[in-house]
Amino acid sequence: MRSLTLKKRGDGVAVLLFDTPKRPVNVLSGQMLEEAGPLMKEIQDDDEIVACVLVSGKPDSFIAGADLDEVVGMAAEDAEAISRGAHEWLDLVEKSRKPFVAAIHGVALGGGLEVALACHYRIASDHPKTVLALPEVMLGVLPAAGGTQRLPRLIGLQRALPMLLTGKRVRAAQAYRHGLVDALTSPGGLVETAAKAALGLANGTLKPNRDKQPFTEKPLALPPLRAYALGKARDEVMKKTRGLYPAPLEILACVEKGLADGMEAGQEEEAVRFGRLVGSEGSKNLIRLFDAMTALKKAPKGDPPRPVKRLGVLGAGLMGEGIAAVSMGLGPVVLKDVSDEGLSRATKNLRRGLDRRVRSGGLTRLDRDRQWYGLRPTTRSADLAGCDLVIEAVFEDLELKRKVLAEIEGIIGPDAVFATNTSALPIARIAAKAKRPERVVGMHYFSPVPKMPLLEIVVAEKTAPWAVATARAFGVAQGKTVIVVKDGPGFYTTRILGPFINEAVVLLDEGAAIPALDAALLVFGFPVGPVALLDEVGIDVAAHVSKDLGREFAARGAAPSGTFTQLFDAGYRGRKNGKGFYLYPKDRPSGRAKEVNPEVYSFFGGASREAMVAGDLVDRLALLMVNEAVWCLSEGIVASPRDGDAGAILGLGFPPLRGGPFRYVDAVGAGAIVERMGELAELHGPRFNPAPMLAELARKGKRFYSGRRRPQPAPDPQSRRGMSGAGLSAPA
Amino acid sequence: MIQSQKAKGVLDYVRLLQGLSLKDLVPDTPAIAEFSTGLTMGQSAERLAKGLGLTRREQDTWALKSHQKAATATEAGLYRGQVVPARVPPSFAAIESDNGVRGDTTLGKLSSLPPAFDRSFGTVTAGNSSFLTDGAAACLLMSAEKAEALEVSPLARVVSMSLVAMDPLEELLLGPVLSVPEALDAADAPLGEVGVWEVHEAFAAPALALLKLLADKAYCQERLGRKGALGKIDPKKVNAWGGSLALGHPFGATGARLVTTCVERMEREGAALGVVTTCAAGALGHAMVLAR
Repeated sequence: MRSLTLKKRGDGVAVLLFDTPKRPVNVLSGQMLEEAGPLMKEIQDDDEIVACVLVSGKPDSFIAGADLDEVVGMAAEDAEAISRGAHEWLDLVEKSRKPFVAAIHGVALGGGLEVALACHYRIASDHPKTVLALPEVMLGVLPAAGGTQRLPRLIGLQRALPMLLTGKRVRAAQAYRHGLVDALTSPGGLVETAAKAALGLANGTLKPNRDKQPFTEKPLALPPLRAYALGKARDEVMKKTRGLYPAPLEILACVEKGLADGMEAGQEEEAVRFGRLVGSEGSKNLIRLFDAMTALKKAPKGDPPRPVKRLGVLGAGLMGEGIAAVSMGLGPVVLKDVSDEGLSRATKNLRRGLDRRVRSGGLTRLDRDRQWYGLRPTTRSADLAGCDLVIEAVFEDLELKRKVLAEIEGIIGPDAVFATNTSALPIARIAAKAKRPERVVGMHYFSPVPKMPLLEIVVAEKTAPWAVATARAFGVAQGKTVIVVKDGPGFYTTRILGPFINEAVVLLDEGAAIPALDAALLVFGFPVGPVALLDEVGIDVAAHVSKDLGREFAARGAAPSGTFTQLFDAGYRGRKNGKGFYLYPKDRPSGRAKEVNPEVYSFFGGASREAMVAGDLVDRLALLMVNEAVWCLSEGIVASPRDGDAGAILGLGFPPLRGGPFRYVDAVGAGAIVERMGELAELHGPRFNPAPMLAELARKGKRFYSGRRRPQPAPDPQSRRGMSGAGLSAPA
Repeated sequence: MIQSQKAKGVLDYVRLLQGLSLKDLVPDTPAIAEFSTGLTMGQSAERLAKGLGLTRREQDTWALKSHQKAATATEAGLYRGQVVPARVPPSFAAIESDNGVRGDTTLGKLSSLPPAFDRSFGTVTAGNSSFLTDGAAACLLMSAEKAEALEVSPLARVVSMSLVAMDPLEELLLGPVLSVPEALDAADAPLGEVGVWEVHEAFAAPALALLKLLADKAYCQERLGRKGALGKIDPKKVNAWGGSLALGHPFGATGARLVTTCVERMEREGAALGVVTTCAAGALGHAMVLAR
């Protein structure tokens, strides 16, 4: 089976069709590059061919990027070689006297966009599914097929850098405005239109407009100014990544080299640095995460999900509104709240969200209207009749949730699923008095729902498999990465966050300075420090959770810090009431660092703080989280290290480059971790005793993941490994 | 304008003028844009032509024939019984025939026009689009009982009707493709027995699309849920006296015009069955089977 076929149309245009065998999307691979060589020669030698159109044979996708199965585990020199092979081919395309036109419908990501960039003309469909991006940076690598060279040359440095350094996605309309594509057309007849353009280029009647760069690009051609701009970009990268992620810096180096010494030198730089990055542990962990997210989208064996034709959402607060926002595209949504005011606010926000997506080209007007008219805000519970799934997102209060469940059970049909959105309340307790506890399941969303990629589905003892399958499938359809966990105090994510947050407060009790504590964890790779996180989550919520969890795990010495209660009683709630560990003045200019609330130290023995070793701070917090994750695995709360790693990274911001708590243990070694925990237990108490599973692993010298680097890529038609890194949040 | 009626005195007028900008003095171009998609009819016709791969030549040829047939029919006096002269200012001289018909146009002339809605790669031009024109049409419709009571004999009988709606983004102007089979089914009339077709030519593209898609087995199976293709419509039976491309498309009058022409043609051509079909904004489609 071949990936590339060449067909002559009879009008002088040859169509080069990409169709990777046995894959739902096209990927660039070594084999494909081998096929490209002879075809390029055929195009050049055949006098009947005057121009060539590149098009995908896959529905709704152009080329999704390089074959990750091939890239991962590659030796540096092999990675270099594949980059050079791509350079060689695309240089032939670029230098061809016969014009090449890329006809793009659907995603053109990574290597896919680089192929398009080498063509003489790009024409894209004006469809919401058409998205162009270079997401390599999110996987810890760089665009190694000339992307760091051709993109800044085509659209200018200022517009190219955000795409290169953050993987920013660009839709058709914006791509056209920026000159990334030369023309837009409707998806129907794309090849026909591209063929017209190709003939026009060949006979000189069509001249692409390449004058779309902003006037501020002109001065950047001067080396000193360019160096200044690139230096600024570098500072920005350092600020955001703290130097933990090498990929964006390597990309900048390639761009700089290419603009200073020419295309060839730049591409050479690309190949060498690509090889280096591919072998790095950070990149491997990012790609593993991407793989885990892909695998978690696949439906597991077992009971099939039941169709959800209508969704009910109870509670129009921030959570309920968010859940409605990610569900409106899937069918009618009934949004119920007791307060008319709350409903109005949520409805207004939902409408704004839809309008914003229309403006960005992510949604057609027609689909906006379809979604909008499918939304039914109501204050009457009876309107939830006929919903196949009801997700309640009312206040975190056991009695209230029980009351709501009892009321809704009388309204919805016997086969409807009742999901409760809670971050810590055990599902079995909520469902204790349910008439049909088998259809009660937990759906733990993270705030803000539209942005956070994780959904934790909680299975209580009595929950039926069909109810789990239905909730899971719906979560995947919402675009979430779903992990299915067992019921218990705090489930998985909240449970491993509990000791982490509690330890932060204990450290403050012991005299740690707030900025030092947060900074230490940021350097480790967390996106937010623990104290700042406390303010975001809410001190009331954290105090509550900490108390519940502390009670459950008191035997392990995990008593909650008493300071929580004192802070709560003094009215501290965190950011939401402006009274937290940090100050939240209304007029704080954006970008300015937060200032510590000086009054808060009075709860921690006064303003004089002790200097503590950053490494100790990190160990005390991170190891408690890691240890709790291992407890969860041994108790069957999470089904696998993969689920535990994905949950900790996507739900709590565990440093992606470290691969998650279980990967972290494997990387450092269970023995070393157990030893360190022993020291900490002696100094600070039994809460640092390693979980038995961890101790056993250390004793046997084993790892959580088997020795193989990654599951071997069997020829699996479902495998969908392009570099599309969608929703993967690597800081950059 | 409304505010100017309220203005009293010179000062008020000055204040009113201050609020005006140059932009207010430019007349608004009437954009006949779809409420749901924001696309104009022309842009939608362009999407349709591209999606079905209708070539410029096909569309121009259809337009050419529409003009030639309309000119021949007008010269032969076929329209005389249907057209009432209109007298309009400034001269109030009688206008006795449509002035949009260009019997002398050629394929060369039509193919020299630039595409109107996608200037680089489009195929829809002013030549293969219907033009806006003024006009009015009427027909008398009543129940059989009423006709008997009034003792009038009908020119034709409405056998069946169908009104449908499709996807306004991808299927605008395709309404007839869905409504014609429905109306024929309701009338229990096979496609081959229809002697006269009057199809609204909003553009050449949708008329071509109707013929193409009803003869397309895969489309009829997938989109219309039928066992096979509905059949081939004989192009000679379609708009034999010209269509909207030549006669123009006065909004609100085209339906009655098509019915009138259909009935006249059925009479002259001795056809037992006729079909009138139009596409409309909002991806609506309408078809009607008439019998004599």
